[in-house]
Amino acid sequence: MKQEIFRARALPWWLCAPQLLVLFLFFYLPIILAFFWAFHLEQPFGGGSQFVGFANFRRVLGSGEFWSSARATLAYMVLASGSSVGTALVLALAADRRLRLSGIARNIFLWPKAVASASIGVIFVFLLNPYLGIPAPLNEIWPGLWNPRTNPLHAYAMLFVANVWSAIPFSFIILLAGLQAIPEELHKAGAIDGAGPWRRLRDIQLPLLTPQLFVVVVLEVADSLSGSFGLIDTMTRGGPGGATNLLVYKIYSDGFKAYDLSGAATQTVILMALVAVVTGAQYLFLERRVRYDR
Amino acid sequence: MIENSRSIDRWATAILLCGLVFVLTPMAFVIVTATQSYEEFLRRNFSLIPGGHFAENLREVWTRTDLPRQTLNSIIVGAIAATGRIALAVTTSYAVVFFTGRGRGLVYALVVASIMLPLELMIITAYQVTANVALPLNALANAGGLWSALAGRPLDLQWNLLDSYAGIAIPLMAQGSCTLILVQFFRTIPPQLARAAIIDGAGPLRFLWDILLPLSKGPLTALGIYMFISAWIQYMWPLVAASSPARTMAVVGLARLQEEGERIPDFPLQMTGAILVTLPPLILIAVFQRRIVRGLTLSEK
Repeated sequence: MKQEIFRARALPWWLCAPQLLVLFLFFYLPIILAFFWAFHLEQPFGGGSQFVGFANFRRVLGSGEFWSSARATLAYMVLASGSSVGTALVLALAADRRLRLSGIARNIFLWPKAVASASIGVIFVFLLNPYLGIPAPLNEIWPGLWNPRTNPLHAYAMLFVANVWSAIPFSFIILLAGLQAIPEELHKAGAIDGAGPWRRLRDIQLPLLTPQLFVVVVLEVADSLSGSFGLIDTMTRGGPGGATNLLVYKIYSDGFKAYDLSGAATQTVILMALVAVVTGAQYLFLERRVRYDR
Repeated sequence: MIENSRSIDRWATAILLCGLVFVLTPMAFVIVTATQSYEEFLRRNFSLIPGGHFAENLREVWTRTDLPRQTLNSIIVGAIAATGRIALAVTTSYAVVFFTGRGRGLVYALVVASIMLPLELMIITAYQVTANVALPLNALANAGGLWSALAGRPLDLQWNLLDSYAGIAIPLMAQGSCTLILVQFFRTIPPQLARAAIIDGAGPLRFLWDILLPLSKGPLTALGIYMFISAWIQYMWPLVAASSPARTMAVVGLARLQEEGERIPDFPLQMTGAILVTLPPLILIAVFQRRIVRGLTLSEK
């Protein structure tokens, strides 16, 4: 913060006002409202609201359906962001070596960004269809080998593959840019000191990449959740048997299909707390390992 | 690279090839399936032999489904959301980077915090707010029965933005990533530039309009394209915010093609729709790849 050039009292506030207004209305107000409804019950026939204390939380936390959904959400967050960042990291490391393929790869690896999560769902549901898609011939030989409509594990495998496919571009861009910003001299110095490529990867590239890795992991956790709705809604609809009914999807169905505003708001508060805790934990445990100076 | 490490380069090439196959295979299958007719598809099941029916499928998508109009909706919402996000981000970043005064850090923190919680997480209450944007005004006026005491009954303003272009696009702007990137960029601009402008008698707004904006043209277009694509690929918010077919966006329309209820879905038609819905942002990405990457990472390499 060294620039600070103009001195004016009112003008900067006018400049910020539009952004702050939009953020207040569609970011902070929804959060406040979620907390409001988590502690209130909507009266029937539009009769306003009634304060009920922690009754909504007791109801939500007392249902087994919520707990299985919360567990699935947490597992999905960790596995989905882990698998997509891991894949993007390997691809970025490979593309960082100046190969003939790197140029094309850099362009094509961004293409999935153009495909909406719901479109990916529509496409993968067809490609992985047990009777009509790629696994069809195998399924004819070994019936029941692959069926995401009845087997929860297969359903999750389908979601993860689609999620990795869609999450490659962003992580890839950021990680590759981080790798390319590492000065060539460090590689040379390492090589002169006798460090082989693997050693340099572990002791030079990865430590210097930690700022980018940190950003990518934090954003991917939030992204895996928001993207999961489009995938689930088009691929599994929460099934089979509620196995992929992640909180994002459950809140949507509770709120918009079952009209349970208070229940949905209570779960929204819990989900936001979950994301906040996971992000906070990343700051505590990961940021310490981040080296910003090179 | 430094030493002669052929074997590593071979591994790297193999990894890149695997990645390319992984990314391109689904696209190839989509294109092949889109060229088959429904009958062909049923007879042969899944096959890699292209048919000659792409034009027919395209005509059917164009005439029998709502996708053409929905594509137009996506263009409109994408344009509004992208321009809006850029405009909001430019003014905020300008105020944060170039002005002295209290509260800058707080504003920046408030904006950047919004990156952590996507709109999808608070969909229910965001929907409530959009259904009546006057909600906070009502709440403020009615606090402590103030308005009832003055006017005899509680204030009850209604301003429903659901099912309008603004109602779909504006909540998509409530996200601070654009500001984060622009603040980083503005910080790389030498302060001497602004000092020189002051000496020449230019005020802050004049400097913004005549010097800073022309200077930032490159990053701003890249960001604009990226934000347009980000709005285009939204699914959950457009799904709940637009209830009438006249405001449905293309991606939502594509997902609804799935539900038409035949026993074996018309996959060739769906895949043709998927091509139609994906092609505009895909072309933008393929053409502007370098600019987008530069805009997002602010690196010249």
